Amino acid sequence: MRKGQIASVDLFIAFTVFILLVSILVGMWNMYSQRLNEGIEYEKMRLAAYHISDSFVKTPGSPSAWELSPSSAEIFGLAIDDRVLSSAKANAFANISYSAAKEKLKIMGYNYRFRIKDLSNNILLASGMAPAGDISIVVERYVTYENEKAIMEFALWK
Amino acid sequence: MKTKKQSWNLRSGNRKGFILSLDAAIAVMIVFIFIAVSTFYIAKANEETLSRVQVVRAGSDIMNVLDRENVFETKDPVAISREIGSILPSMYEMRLRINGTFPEKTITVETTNQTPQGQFVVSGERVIVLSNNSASNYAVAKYWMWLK
Repeated sequence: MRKGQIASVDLFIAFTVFILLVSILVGMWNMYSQRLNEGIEYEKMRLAAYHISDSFVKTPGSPSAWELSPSSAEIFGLAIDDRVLSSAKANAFANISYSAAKEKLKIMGYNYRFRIKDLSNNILLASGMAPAGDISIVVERYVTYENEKAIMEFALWK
Repeated sequence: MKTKKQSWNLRSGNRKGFILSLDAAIAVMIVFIFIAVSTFYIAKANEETLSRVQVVRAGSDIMNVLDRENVFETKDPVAISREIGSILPSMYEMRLRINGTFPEKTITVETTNQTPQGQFVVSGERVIVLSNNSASNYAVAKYWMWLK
């Protein structure tokens, strides 16, 4: 009789430990899946933000005089030389409609904010929406703007 | 009944059960250590990616801006250091060395701090042209940047 009781208690303890371990493992698995998905999303946003910032500070865009007719722009670029921004292009981009800019930048699923600041963090030009989501990537590039050192900031968020 | 009793009292007696429990405990411990270590490294890897890429871009951008403003042509470490300080964000440190064959001699300009040990440091090179009224000279500016 006592042996049977011990076997039951043993089984009960083993079963409890097993359930506990399985619960922990399932929890861990879910956490890893969530982290992996967040990581993939984060990487996608990071790549997009850096591609856009590179395009802004290193290229004049396509066509090269797109600022004359912003609706005809295929690729936005704000540079007149490597990391020297054109104020005409920057103003044209800041004045383009938010949804049109997102569509051209191929970031329809995200929101963005574009700013140019001087080195004392005074805003010289701004457009878009301030980051308010769960994930945000803020890229700062050091440029020359209107013959002064400046910081071009592009924030991508969702 | 006798046979069953014999199976419970093997040569090793109760020690066999004890060894099996120890084996299970060690296995569980190894699994948890593995999970904890992998969680730590995954979290660490995700944290550092953006800040590291940002340092790479910032270094390249700053060198470009300084070159465009002809800061390197002064060949004066104090003046170069002052200009770096004016654009370098407060969270970064930067070290710069310019090697080139100039009419006077081969010079090395070094600014700011020594490169730290055991920390992620970005380095890069930029070939620059230093001009004066009579001639142009080529030089290589090598820089190191890291987070404070």
